[in-house]
Amino acid sequence: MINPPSKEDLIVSIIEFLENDIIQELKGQKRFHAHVAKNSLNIVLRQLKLEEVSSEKEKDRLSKILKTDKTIKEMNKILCSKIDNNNIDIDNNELIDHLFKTTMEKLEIDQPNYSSFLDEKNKP
Amino acid sequence: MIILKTITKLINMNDKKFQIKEYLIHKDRKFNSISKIGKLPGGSSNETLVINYFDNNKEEKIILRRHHSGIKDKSNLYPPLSLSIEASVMEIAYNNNIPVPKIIYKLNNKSILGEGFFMEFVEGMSLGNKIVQNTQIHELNPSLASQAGSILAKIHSIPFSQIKNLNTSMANDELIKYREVYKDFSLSIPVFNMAFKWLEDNLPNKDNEKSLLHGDFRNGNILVSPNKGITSVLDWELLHVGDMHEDLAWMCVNSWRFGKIKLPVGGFGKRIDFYKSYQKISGKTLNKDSLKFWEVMGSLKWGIMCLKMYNIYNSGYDRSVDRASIGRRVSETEIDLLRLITREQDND
Repeated sequence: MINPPSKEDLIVSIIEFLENDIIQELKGQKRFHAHVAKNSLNIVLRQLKLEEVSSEKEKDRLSKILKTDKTIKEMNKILCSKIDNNNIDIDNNELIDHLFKTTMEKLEIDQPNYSSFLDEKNKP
Repeated sequence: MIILKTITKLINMNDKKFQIKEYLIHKDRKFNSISKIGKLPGGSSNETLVINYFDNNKEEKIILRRHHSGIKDKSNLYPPLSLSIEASVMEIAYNNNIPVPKIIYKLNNKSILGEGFFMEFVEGMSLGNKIVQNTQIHELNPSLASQAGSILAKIHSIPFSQIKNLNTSMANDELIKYREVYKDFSLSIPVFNMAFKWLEDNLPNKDNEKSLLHGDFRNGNILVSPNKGITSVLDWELLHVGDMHEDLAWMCVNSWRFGKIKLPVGGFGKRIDFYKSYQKISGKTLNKDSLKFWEVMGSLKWGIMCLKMYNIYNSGYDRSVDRASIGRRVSETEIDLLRLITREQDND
């Protein structure tokens, strides 16, 4: 068993280091890049927390739509070729529902401050 | 002698200053010294430099636009227009009273400095997020959206038959081009496949009129003064002949609203103002379905551009943090595509 700190703690320690000691020291492009680096670490942090559950849900939905049980990567590939070859209608409600859910789960990790994500999340 | 010494010193610093020397010699201007050379953000295949210099003790600025490091990017799948065409079109625009920086000097094609041109420095805000957050711009009369509409109408009325080597790309050409780029990534992003399918099913009329398009007319590529409005249209490198609706829709793509989702025109205005002034100046009637097609196309295009930029990181060509993380902005375009395709358009 790996000793503490956890991988999350290690990432948080780098984020805090960038925030408290580094960014203020930099100017121009380097400062911008340090900000981007901090954001990237936050993406990783959210991914560590959320990906397992959201992937499980995505996989379940995919196997229901495609009526097969393969890896998430394989099933997405099959879904893409079904869409390309008109084997699934792009107006199909189950498909649209799945794509909305999957995209919202991705954005929860990638860009939870994005305008459309927030607007969609706050929809009644 | 002071001038020569300063220039020589600057040349030794790096290549950027080398080009400026050629310009100085050619124009024989009375520079006392160059105080600063900065690079403006943005531009995938061209770079824009701001040069501060003293002319008789008065600090002046001039802009140099050229290919990155003076060398054309041959690896680009769809290389942008040559900078000499860009400069010629900007000159035509300038003569047609379209707000655009005045071209001062075009570098010779054979110049060791590479292809490029010098233009006047125009004051104004260029950062999209700063523009949408400025409260003063909402008081402008005519509104920023109306101004954008009439400027675009003027651009589209430029006669282009005399301009050589322009690309023509209508809806179907764009669709084929971006499908190819997406296919090359060998990725499975079902929302993108769905969007391609939707676009194929909703292609605008082939007979839509051909106009000279700016190609990248969006918030971020215009200079805005809080009291006057749009002072300049920048970044003409994607100009081409195409369907007028392409330029009109690109300005409304959510990625360029900088968070102001309820103001579809660049995050600063309403569609009705934008379209009305465009139609008034151009005398053309806009087609709602074509506008929607191009807004979907625009979102998809930006998503694929993000993938392309991530790929530049992945290929090892540019290992910067922002090139890497931009791949995670693709999901932003996925939600926009889903909302556009499956819902009624916002009518603001």
